[in-house]
Amino acid sequence: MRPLIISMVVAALVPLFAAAAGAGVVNTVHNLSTTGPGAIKATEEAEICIFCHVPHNANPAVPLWNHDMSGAAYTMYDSEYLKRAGYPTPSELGAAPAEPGFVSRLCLSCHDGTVAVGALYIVRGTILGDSIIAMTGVEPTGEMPATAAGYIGTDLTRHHPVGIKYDSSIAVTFGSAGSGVNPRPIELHASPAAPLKVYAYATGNYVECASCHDAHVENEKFLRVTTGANLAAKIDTTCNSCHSKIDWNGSIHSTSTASYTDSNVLDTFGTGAVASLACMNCHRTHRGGGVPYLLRQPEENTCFQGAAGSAAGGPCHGTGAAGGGKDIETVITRTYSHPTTGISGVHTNLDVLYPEGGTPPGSKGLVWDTSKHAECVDCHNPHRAAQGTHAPSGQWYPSLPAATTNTVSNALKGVTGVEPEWPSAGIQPVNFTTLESASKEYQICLKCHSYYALGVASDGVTSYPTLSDPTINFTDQAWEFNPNNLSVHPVVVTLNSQTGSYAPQALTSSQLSPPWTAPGNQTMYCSDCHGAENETTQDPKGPHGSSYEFMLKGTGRYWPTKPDGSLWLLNTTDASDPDLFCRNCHPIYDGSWKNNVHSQQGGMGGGGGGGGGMGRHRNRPCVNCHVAVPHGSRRSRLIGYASDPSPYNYNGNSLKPVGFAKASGPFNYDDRNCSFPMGVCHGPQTPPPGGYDP
Amino acid sequence: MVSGKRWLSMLFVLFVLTAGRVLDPLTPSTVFGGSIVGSRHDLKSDWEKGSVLMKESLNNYGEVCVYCHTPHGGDESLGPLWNRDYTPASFNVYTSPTMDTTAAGIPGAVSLACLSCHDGTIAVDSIINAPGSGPNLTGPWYGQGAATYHFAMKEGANACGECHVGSPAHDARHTYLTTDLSDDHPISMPYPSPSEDPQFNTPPDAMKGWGGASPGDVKLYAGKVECPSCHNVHDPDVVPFLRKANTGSALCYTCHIK
Amino acid sequence: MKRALLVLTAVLLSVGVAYAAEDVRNTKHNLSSTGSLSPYLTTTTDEVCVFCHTPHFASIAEAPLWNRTEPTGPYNMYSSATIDMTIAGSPQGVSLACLSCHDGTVAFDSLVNEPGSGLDTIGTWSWNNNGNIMTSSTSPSAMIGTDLTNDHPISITYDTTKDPQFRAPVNNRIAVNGTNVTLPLYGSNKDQVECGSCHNPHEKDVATFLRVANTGSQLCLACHIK
Repeated sequence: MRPLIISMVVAALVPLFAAAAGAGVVNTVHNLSTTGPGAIKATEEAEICIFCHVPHNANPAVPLWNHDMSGAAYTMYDSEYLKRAGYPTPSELGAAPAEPGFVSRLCLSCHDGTVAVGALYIVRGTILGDSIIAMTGVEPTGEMPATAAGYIGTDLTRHHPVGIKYDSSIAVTFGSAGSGVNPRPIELHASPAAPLKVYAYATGNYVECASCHDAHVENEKFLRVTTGANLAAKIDTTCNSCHSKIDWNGSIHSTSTASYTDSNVLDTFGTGAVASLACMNCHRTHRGGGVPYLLRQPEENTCFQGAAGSAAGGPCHGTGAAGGGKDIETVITRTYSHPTTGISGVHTNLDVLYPEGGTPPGSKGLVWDTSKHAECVDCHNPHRAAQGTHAPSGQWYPSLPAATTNTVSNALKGVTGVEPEWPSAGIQPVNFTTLESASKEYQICLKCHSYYALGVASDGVTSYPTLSDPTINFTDQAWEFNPNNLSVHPVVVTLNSQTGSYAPQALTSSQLSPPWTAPGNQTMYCSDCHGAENETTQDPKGPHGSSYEFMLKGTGRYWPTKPDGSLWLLNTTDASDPDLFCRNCHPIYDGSWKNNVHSQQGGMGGGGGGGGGMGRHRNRPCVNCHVAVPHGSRRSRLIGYASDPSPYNYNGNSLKPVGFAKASGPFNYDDRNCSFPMGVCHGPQTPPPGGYDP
Repeated sequence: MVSGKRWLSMLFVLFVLTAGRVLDPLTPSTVFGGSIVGSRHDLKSDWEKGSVLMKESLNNYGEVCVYCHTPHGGDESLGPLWNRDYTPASFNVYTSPTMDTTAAGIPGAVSLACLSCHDGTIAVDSIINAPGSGPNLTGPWYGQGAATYHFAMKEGANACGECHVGSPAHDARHTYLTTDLSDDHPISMPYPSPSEDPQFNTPPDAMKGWGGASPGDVKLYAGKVECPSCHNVHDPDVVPFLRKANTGSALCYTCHIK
Repeated sequence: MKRALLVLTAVLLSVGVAYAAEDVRNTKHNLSSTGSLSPYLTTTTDEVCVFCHTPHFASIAEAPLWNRTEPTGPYNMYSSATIDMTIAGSPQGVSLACLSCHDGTVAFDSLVNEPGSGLDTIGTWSWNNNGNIMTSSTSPSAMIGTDLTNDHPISITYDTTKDPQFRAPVNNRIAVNGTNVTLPLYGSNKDQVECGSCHNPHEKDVATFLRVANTGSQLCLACHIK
């Protein structure tokens, strides 16, 4: 009998509980009634909707709100990026239904932790007044605890902006006054893809908490997007419903099959694959550790560990990373490096547009003196970067450099840059065109290594000491690589296009080692000379950091001094020394000399020399004739004059020539090509018909 | 074959015998209630009490019942021995989304009888057989001359409503139902069974309702609700001609569970 | 005995959620001299139905035989950025009937037909101290007023094709899951949500005259897929 009775009772009860089956909010932590599944729930109140809604006398009226509102003043999301883009930044969340941000303020009436969860306006026709619905799981005074998963608080700077206008029409203008503009769109879809939604106010459509979340839906994080294999997929769809990051599809961060090993990541997102985590690799929509931009960690730490609790838990760019990403942290913390880890809070997005600072007032631009920095995102665009550098794996250089080889590699895609207007040789370039996306690597480097950041540099030299040697000041690389200069390494244009150079513009192929076998028709990267010491083995390519001064890379990494600190000399021993930096590309002596200046086979002083460079130039330091910063020179063949300043003139007193004229071929030099003061070397000479280089 | 007049005389005697109130028609009865005689349904009395204009508005046939009934030649499709020269109009009937039964498109005969005056489509004195022998619609009328006008129950000029607007005569507009019955309690619909609508009380007699043979409670007519379900046209005691007092809305609660 | 109770419980659970208990006489809607629950009571009549219904000359189309003066508003209708269905420009029949008391513009004794022979047969009514018209001071929660912007939308066309987050009606009614209560829709197309969709003004047991107790918000969830 008893089982029968019980079954009758159960049968009678089933319809009551059937109401909950399959329902949405009922099964979520937003069911705050006694039947709710969460830690925060009422001790007696059995109604569910009542915690937010009431059908009559609602306050505020829309959407029939029944929860006491928060009067908190919120610290709103802000970023220089938005301001510099001219994007309207969110102001205080609206307190009235007609004011943007109002919808979000509704949510925050619980989630900001300032109002008791049980503080309702009216229940079954009774106005509660000061009494509240009894709850468990809340603070003694009734509010949501700061430890709750849904706690937002009143500081909204670490959360995706709400109460912010949705305006896909805004674009950031690049270029320069008078030149064609080169806009970068704000990277938003024209309108959010469903099921996301924006909220219409008089001044336009706005993003609110409810744009991404539906407080009623039984779904992870109450996301509106309910389809997807796991939380990561749902978030990915959510973000991409509004954000349309250029070239994101196909970027390494959207396609990498590398995976996190941090179990928290797998537990949270349901997957550890970088490609699946997508935005969540680097960003958090709530409680981001990096401000602004909702980064997971401050600046480069985001790149080092991604979504993992430590670098070791993820396949990112930190020391000991699980594999997949390049270990940048290790190289960038070497002795000589770009200043990344040691500088914080200086970089701002779009700082490239403001070398002198600029809007918003007080924010940082690219002024070396006050805002020197090199964050990862100054040289990389994590949304567009793809796999691959310009030099294949295991090689220092490209296999066969061509005229366009200085085009940015995949790793440098979509990075802002500057292109100088090139003045006459010897004049500092001071006008630049800002580029939304640099097409050449040097355009990225010149953001900092030119007047654009360095400011006025007399004869190309600044007053800022290098990190490698405090006695050596930084020079202006735009000044040095100017195509109007008489000699240069072909970073900007091929030597045959080097308008400032007279014939013969390029060296002969015998003066170069592979792959530089087409001199005059090849270009090169800054990072063909600067980079990490082990790029052919374990080090990631690029000038992140090095154990060698000036991050010189290649087999030889010493210039203009030897490992023992003494200057490289012109003799067969030094010229054969694998540590000699120039020798990486220039076979100065491989059993024979490659020009008759080095060998002293020809010329009026003639005599001796032979194959051993045994002439008058024997044992002369390289920097007696060549500039110590061999980027480019106002004279041919990177020759410097005695009048040149340090550091071109090593120690300020090493250069000897006062006149130089390029010969018609490498073995056509004689004494007249190089003139000296009386008593120096072979003294003053009568110049060739064309005269000496200025 | 008795003449209509004689039949009416017999009926009159019956009233006198049963109610004993013919000389004092306004005194409530302790048995069956009051009498139509002298009530507002007594058009003869109305005529006699009325103003000069009233006397110009309808014929005084000198009898009470004749305005509705005739012993012969009546139209039984409209009501018992019905004497009114009436062709039912097209009615706009009551509908409601909250109703579980449906009002008939054309009211049933029992209700049409009432509507033959109250819909305002024909004059209140428009009858088939006038007193005397057979149809006599041209007069002269019993004891009096023909009225100048023949007013129908409706508002406005050349109708009862010309005067009955509260002043000078009592306001009768609320009795002009017109042919738009959509604002009136539904009639001629079957009384709902508990399964059709549980919010109705079940009558003791499914066909006749609560009243049975007594006029003092709600009646059903062949199981349907009609005007006389609530109203007793012959008894003015419970205003307005109700079958029983609506104290505490008792009349309403007879049927409705609300 | 315990077994008997269990059986009784089972029966109550299965049928107890059946038709709501209707007896308007024992509710706040009984304004007559026989009433006691309403804050507004008259001594003028003992009739109960008369405050809303009349058998003849009903006032508000669609409202059942309405006896009250039709209110003229104007009303501010609910609107919300989150609403996808269409709300009429003013309250329609059934809701207008409710508003003929609850908007506070029409006196309780402003009737088409007063008790007795109808029309204005009474003259001056006698009411208790709270008077003959609804005020927000006496009825802070029952007083709806003419500003409906903070009230659940009414006279809204229930069209689940416009918003999939609503349950489709069956035979123009919406079932309250787990009960045998269904919520009516009104209007000529029987697709309008009106006051009466949720409320039964004759209901005596359920607070705020709901058609079914809102335990677990079952009334809300009947329509809203939330």
